[in-house]
Amino acid sequence: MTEENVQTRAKPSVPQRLWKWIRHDWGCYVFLSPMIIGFFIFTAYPVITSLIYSFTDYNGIYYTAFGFENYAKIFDFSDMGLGVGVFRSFGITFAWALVSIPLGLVLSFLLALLASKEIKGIGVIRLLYYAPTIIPSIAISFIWADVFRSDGIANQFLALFGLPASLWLEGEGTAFLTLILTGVWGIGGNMIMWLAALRSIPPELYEAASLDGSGRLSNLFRITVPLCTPMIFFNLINAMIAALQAFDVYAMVGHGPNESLYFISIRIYETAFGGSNQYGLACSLGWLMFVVIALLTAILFKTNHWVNYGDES
Amino acid sequence: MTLTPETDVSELLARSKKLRRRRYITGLTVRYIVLALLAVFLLFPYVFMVSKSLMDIVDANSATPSLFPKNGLHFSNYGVFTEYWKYFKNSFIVVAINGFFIPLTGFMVAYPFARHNFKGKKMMFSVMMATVMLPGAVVMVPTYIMFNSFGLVDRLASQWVGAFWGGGAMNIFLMIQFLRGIPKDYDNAARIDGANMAGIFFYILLPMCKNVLLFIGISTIIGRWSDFQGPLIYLTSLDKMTIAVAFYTQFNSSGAASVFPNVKMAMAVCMTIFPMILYLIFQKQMIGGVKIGGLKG
Repeated sequence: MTEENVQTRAKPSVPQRLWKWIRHDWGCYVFLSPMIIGFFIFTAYPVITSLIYSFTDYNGIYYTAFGFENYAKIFDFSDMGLGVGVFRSFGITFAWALVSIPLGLVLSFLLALLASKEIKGIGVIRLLYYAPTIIPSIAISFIWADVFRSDGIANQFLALFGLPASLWLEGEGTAFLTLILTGVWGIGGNMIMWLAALRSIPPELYEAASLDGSGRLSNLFRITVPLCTPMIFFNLINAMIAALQAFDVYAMVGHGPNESLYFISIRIYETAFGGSNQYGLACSLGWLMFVVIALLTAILFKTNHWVNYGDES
Repeated sequence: MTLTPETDVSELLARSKKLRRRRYITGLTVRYIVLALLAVFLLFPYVFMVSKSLMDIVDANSATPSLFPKNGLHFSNYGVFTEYWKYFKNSFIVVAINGFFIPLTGFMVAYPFARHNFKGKKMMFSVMMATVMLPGAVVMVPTYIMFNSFGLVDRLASQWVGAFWGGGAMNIFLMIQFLRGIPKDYDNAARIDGANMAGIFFYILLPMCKNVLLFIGISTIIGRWSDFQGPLIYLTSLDKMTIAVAFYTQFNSSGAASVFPNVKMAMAVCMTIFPMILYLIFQKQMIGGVKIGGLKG
């Protein structure tokens, strides 16, 4: 670089730099404009107002107080406070995420292994496995609510084998397990992802391993699973965020028997729109939920050493 | 088996080949049986739904329910489709607008992220990805109040005004990943020929990314078709409702039509047909899209 060049480059005036920046980047900002405008209207503004509301008793028309009362109420575990109910809701939601996500991943993996071999008619079979996930959530909720009534067809099925009847979705102790059971019918969705992941593994790896005397099982745990870890991790994050916001069970059983399926997002919805218009309280519950999701995401990212991105040498 | 000089090698080979073939066929048969049993199990909701939709009211409310209709098939239950046609129409409007503009605007946003360097790129990308963690519950109330002040509550428009702003971080991220897989040589060649950003976007990249756009469009449509939390909040009068929420309010345990479980299932079948047709038509794109989303995380 010559001396002349350095001098002219070192001292462009502020408007000059601004002009250069705009001339260089304006096209990009035009393309980004939907997101930028949408971010301010649908994210930034609501987030800020939500934070303000969470410190008030806003009901849609006015508010009378400003302070930490909502948060105090949420963490008040006495009979006057909401602590017990709120933390029960969080507990149910966590339990749902903790059981349904790993179970779904493992079962769909097994299903994918079974359906991965290219044999005649496998395309149709895969399509059939995927089919239950296409049923809209409201329809499938009604189906399960009907099947797993206390006098529904599930008990007829048990009676066929001489087993005692269960309360299924209508029993406080069985509702949660029944909900997990209904989730099994949705494993076809993840199966497709596993299939894609399995297909992307280069077959040379298996050939090399079998030359070294590796068996099928060790192939599975030393080649297949490690190479699928990026997909598992991506899926884990998305599934966690989705599971913590699970709402569809509301159509199936509402709160569940004795509020045993009162998920946190259903509680927030009812707090705001269930008739009592406790908008401020609903916002503070939403923020609590955000903190929980952010913490869990951070933990997942901090502990992702098991994910094999294949770029460390 | 021990090998002696008298052993006929070719016979041995033939026998082992036969044995292997027999083993292969048994393995295949077992595999097919397991696959078929699993299919029967997983298709149970369909069997239940279709079968119950054809029952008469006595059969459907029987205290000892059976899987298949006992009193003949009653296709008249499907008359509910014409009765609910206006809600289907509302849903079609909502999914059409969302399914068209979300992939389009999302792709617009993905383009500079994948192809250009501009001031604030890193910051914008991190902010965008951070919004994935933001639960809907945080913005639910202020958005409702904002929509209310714009007069959007109880209007169908409340279900599609959000379609023009990129459609969310995960969609945009998916498209960025897809765009990164396309060599930049295409852009450069077009630029040498005098194309500007808009030209490259519309004439080069848009056609090349048809499949990922279709994937996002179809998943948006299927998602919106069954979405019922949003419409439940915003649509309060029955004739404005989308099909999912009209179905819910009329047929849930406190709804007016809840005493007709057979009609309820006929309605469920009607609601399932549309996403099913879409999925069958766009099978390739749907599976291909899952591939991109799953692997390049």
